[in-house]
Amino acid sequence: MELFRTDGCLSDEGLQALTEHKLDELGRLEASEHLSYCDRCLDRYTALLTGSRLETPPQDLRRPVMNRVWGQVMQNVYGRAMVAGIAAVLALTIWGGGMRDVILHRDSAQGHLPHTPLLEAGESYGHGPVSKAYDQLFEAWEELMLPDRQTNDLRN
Amino acid sequence: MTAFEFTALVQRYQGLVYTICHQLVPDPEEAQDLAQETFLAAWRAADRCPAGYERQWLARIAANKARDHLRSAWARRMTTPGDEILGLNSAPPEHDPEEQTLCNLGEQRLREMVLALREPYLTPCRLCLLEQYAPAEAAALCGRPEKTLRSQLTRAKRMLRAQLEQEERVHPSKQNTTEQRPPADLSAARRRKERGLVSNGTVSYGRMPK
Repeated sequence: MELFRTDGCLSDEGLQALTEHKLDELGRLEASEHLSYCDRCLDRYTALLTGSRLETPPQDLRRPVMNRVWGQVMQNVYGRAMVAGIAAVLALTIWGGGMRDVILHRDSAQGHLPHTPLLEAGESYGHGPVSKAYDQLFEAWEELMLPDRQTNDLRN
Repeated sequence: MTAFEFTALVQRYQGLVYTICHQLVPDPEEAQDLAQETFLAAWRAADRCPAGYERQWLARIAANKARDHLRSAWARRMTTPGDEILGLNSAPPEHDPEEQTLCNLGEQRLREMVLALREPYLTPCRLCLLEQYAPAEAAALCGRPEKTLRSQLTRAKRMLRAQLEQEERVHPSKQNTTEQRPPADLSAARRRKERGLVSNGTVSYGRMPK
């Protein structure tokens, strides 16, 4: 029995053998590969599957399928809710961690900022004036963010 | 599609989907799992279902699910334990044992063996091994998905190699005669095509693209 015709489509005997569970594993693999792209053979095959040829699944598929659909929907909803929750917690943590004062008093704080040297054209990273400029920049930030440090240092 | 409509769809077509899955995958439990997977995939892509073609659409999804299942089961069986450790699966094509066997084969002998193959292997092998088309081009020419064509090509090479080994066991002297012939150059893609040595046979390429 030839599963395929010379034009590459499934033969009538091949389709018949498929519906009668007579194909071996390789034959079933070849048939499924062909049915996955050939519209004509799929139509011929589904036309054979009517009436008494249709099998009944051992268990009604509605309940397990709808359970899985429901699970997937919930997964999507809970996933989004979890992402939103984490984002909210992060935002509150940053807000309560001192950034609120920095943002609210930014205008007044800018007046206390010491002069920060700018990177001149042609200067490179590493040793030299640029790294010194960064050191000064970090010191300025420390003064801004930790205003009590100087008084603590003085106390000590 | 609402949940109510989808439930009605499942009720109406569960017999068809299960039948397709069970005829392609004989184990009833696996077939039932595949049928469920089919409906789940249908739910995910419900917007893409053409109205009035639910039967064909679900049958196509079921065939795809069964194909993927059979393909992975086949690949598991064909992969020798330990190949992953040796890295044989990721070896370059020139180190592929099937490719090496075919390269050592005489050109005339390769042509004979390819033309003796049955469908669905004849067309991909003819295009890729004899006429030196790239798999993507061959897939477009014969109207098959490239992945399908590649897996058919791989299986065909295994078949050819198994056939050669069987012939060598039966007629050990044939090994010497094939070695004396000029080897088939499978890696020289398009060389023969550019020189106009492509044969125009009478074998159909299946569904030609419009």
